[in-house]
This record gives sequence, C-alpha cells and structure tokens, in this order.
Amino acid sequence: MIDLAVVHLSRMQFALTALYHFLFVPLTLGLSMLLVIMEAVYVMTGREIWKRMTQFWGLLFGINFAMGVATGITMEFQFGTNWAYYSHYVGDIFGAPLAIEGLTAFFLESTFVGLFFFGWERLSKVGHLVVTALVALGSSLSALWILIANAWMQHPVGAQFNTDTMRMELTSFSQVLFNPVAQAKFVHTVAAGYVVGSVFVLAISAWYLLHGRNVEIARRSMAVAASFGLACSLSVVVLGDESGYMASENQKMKVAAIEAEWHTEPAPAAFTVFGFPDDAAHTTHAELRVPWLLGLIATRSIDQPVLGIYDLVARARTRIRSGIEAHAALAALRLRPEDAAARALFEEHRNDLGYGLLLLRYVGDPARATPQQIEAAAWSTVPDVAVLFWCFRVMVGIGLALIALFATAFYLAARHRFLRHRWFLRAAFFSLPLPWIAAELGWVVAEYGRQPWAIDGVLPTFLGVSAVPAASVLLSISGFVLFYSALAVVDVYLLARMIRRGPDGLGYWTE
Amino acid sequence: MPWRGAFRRHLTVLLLIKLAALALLWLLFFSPAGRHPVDAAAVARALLPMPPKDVSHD
Repeated sequence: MIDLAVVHLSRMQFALTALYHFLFVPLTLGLSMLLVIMEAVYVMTGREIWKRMTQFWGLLFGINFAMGVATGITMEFQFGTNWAYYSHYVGDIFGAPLAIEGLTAFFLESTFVGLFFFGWERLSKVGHLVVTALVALGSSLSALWILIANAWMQHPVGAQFNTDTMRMELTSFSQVLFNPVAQAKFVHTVAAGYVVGSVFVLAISAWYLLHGRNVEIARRSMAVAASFGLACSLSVVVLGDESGYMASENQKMKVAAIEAEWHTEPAPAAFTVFGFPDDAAHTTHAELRVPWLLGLIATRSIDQPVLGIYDLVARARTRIRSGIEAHAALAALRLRPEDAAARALFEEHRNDLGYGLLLLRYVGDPARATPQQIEAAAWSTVPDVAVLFWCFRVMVGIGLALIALFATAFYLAARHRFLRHRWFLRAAFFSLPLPWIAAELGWVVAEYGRQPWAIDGVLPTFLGVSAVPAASVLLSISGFVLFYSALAVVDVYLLARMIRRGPDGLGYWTE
Repeated sequence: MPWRGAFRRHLTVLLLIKLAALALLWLLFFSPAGRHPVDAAAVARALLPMPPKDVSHD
C-alpha cells in the first residue's frame, strides 16, 4: 500500500524548505535591481554617496545571496531523495529547465557576484555597472528557469506519456519554454521580488531616519525604494491578475477553491470578498459578495460563467472513468506491447490517465473501483478551500497596503518631507515583514491549490514519493529544522550587525 | 606570519568537519544500502494492478 505518512512527511519537508528558501530569493531579486539603479546614478552623476549606497546595500545583498544559494541546493536534492518516482515520471521535462538554470543563470549570477564585491578598484565605473547589471540579470534568469519548471507542473504542455519507459517525455521544448503560465508567473514573481527589495530598503532607511543616522544615504535610498516600489507594487497587481486569468483558463478547480465558488453561477459571477468557507458542508458562511467582479476578473467578460466546484467535480468524475480505461489499456500494453486494440484504447483515453491514477489511493486496481471510490477520488480533486480562500485574500490585502505605503513614500520623497513625518517612518519600518508574508502566501496558493496533483492532471502527488521509510523522512526533516534554524540565527545576526553599524560604521571600503 | 598558522589550522578543522558531515549525509541518504533505484519496471509495479491488488512501491 502507499504509505501516506511518507507522502505527508515528504510534502511537509518540501514545503518547509521551499518556503524557507523563498525568504531569500525575492530579496535577492529586488536588491540586485535596486543596486543597478543606485550604481547607475553613481555612474551618471559621479557622486560618491551613490557608490557608498550601492556598496552598503550590496553587502546586505551578499549575505542574503549566500543564504539563498545554501537553502536552494537542498531542494534539488529532495527530488532524488524524497520524490524518486516523481523524478522518474517527469524528470525528462522537469529536469531540463533546472539544469539550464544551474548551467547558465546561476553560474552567470555567482561569477559576477564575486566581481561585484572585489571589482570596485579593478574595473572602470561603467565596467562595474555592467557587472552589477549582469548579477541582476542572472538572478532574474534564474527565476525564469525555475518558474518554467514550476509552470509546467501547473500546466503540463509539450510532453507525452511513453508506455514503454513509463514516464512523461518531452515532445516540444518550445511549448515548455513559452508556456503562457510560465510567462505570467515569471513577471508576477519577479515584480513581487522587486517589491520585497523595495520594502527592505524603505524600512531599513526609515529606521536610520528615526534614529538620525546615515541621513543622507537613508533619504536617497528611501526615494529610490519609493519610486521603484510604487511602480513594482502596481505591476504586481496587474501581473497577478494575468496569472489569475491563466489559472482560470488552465486550473479551474484552483480558481473555484480560491473564490469558494461551490456552485456555478449565471454569468457574470459575483466575487466573495469575505466569508467562512466550510469544506465539510461545501458552503461558505457569512458571505460578503460583490456582483460581477469574479466574472470580470476570471473571464474578462460578462457573459461567461466561472465554473463552480460541484460542476468541476462532475467533470473530474467523467475523466476518472475515462482514466480507468486508460489505466486498463496501459496494463494490457505492458503485458503485450503489440496489442493494437489496447493501443487504440490507450490513445483514446491517454489524456485522462492521471485521473485514473487518483483511484490508486483507494483501490489497487482502478478497474474494480466502486462508485463510492470514484466519488471519493473525484472530490479529492478539490483542494483545501478555506486555506486557499484566506491565503489569497491576505496576500491581496497586503499587496494593496503596500501600494498605499509606496504611494505615500513617493509623495513624501517628491516633497522632501520624510523627516517631518515620523509616523510614516514608523509605519515603513513595521511594514518590513509584510511583503515576505504576501510572497509566501502566494506560493501557498499556487502549490497547495494544485493539490492533489504534483503535475496538474498528470501525476497525483501521493504517487511521486520515494519508497523510503517514514522514519528516514522524519530524520531529515528534523535535520533541516535544526540546520535551517541555526542558519536563520546566523543570517539575522549578520544582517542586524551590518544594519546597526550602517554605511558610516562599516569601513569596508576606502574611498 | 603567525596568523597564517592559525588560519591553516582553522581551515583544516573546518574542512574535516565538512568532510565528516558530508560522509554522514552520504551514509544516511545516498549510500547504496539506502538507495532504491526507480526505473520503468518499478513505476509499472507502482501504478499497475499487481497480485495482490494493493499497490506497492517495493
């Protein structure tokens, strides 16, 4: 039997390490771009203060970059240790963008990071600016390849199941590369990273201004963060809307769960702003609804319905029945590969094989599944509605709050009034955790919302785990918790020490 | 240069600790004893009906 303890523990380990890793990634993305802006001003104006700003924020970037690398590598190992069946089943496609990321983007980024730190006295001004820009480009390219891999899990295109090798195989690399979900995810995620970097610079600079330290650097840093942050936080909303639209095209169940839309409504659907989704009773209590809004967001029309969970479960039920046929045909082909009838049957139902595999959680042979087991498998395609509903709303709420923060900062920066409004400096400082919370919740919505699938519609998560004892996974989780906790202490200590010293107190670079 | 000796000692100790940690990780997670190769046959056993009916990853 499938050991569900191993499945749950493996998922928990990956979720913990991924969420921890993503504490560092968006700050790397955001800070690298802010460094380019600051250094570009230095190159254009020749004013030393901009160089010192670049060097100071660059030091914080360096600490964060090292942590990001250290925590990212362990995730790739997990595909082999904890997700061996997943790796065999889809490694042919999923592995390609990961390998390209390592060989191109990461090498580019890590090579030029060294030049960024040690090249100040060895390179020309413009030469060093190009290096900084290449670090930022490498960070963004790195994100692009990872998100291409992730987008394929959300919307698997350009691949087909091979009955001989029992795995998905690449049929079109360009389809994987230009997966529309990947493009939407990439711009949304990178813009969110820019927001994280901007809030980080804004908050730390506000702290300096509150304490009357490093005032000139802090004022300029706040002005850069305010303008860049405002543009990016507005972009995040627009690009997030595009990402949501993609999900409504390709992952209708995820969208229905996020919106707690249990039943299909006549178009255009209303948007539930607030409520208490009840997963057991399949209803939402105390709903507060805005007419038309969901229809406009999800379909960009007023005459197309947004399918509700009940209708999507009915669709899943149909696909599971078709998947049973695909599964039976696959079993026949494994025994007699030349069986033409089995081949024809498999080709007819191949797109629903994944749905047939959902039944393996309930019965060894899907062909013998009872109507109750089919019903249970169909309802298993519904992710946790309450979790997705709230995570999404908190994420959006934080996003809107950050737009207000940056708009105020931009207004104050334009009028040189930061020092007169200490309430704003406090608000900016205490906003520091908000973009991280929003970014993490965004990933919870994306990944938890894909369940029960590892690869949407292709491979159920419970079939992807390695055949290892639960105790081994528990041991590795314990190791990760201990090791990552120690890393967190070191990271916070280093960052806090550098920030407390400030640009004036570091003395790392002579002028 | 007195610092060079201390630096060399620290570096040696750090490298030894790192090697020991890597060896332990290899022993726990990557050694042949703990390795379960996954190939087409293993996936077929996991996904397709086998007597007895329940699916096994073994």
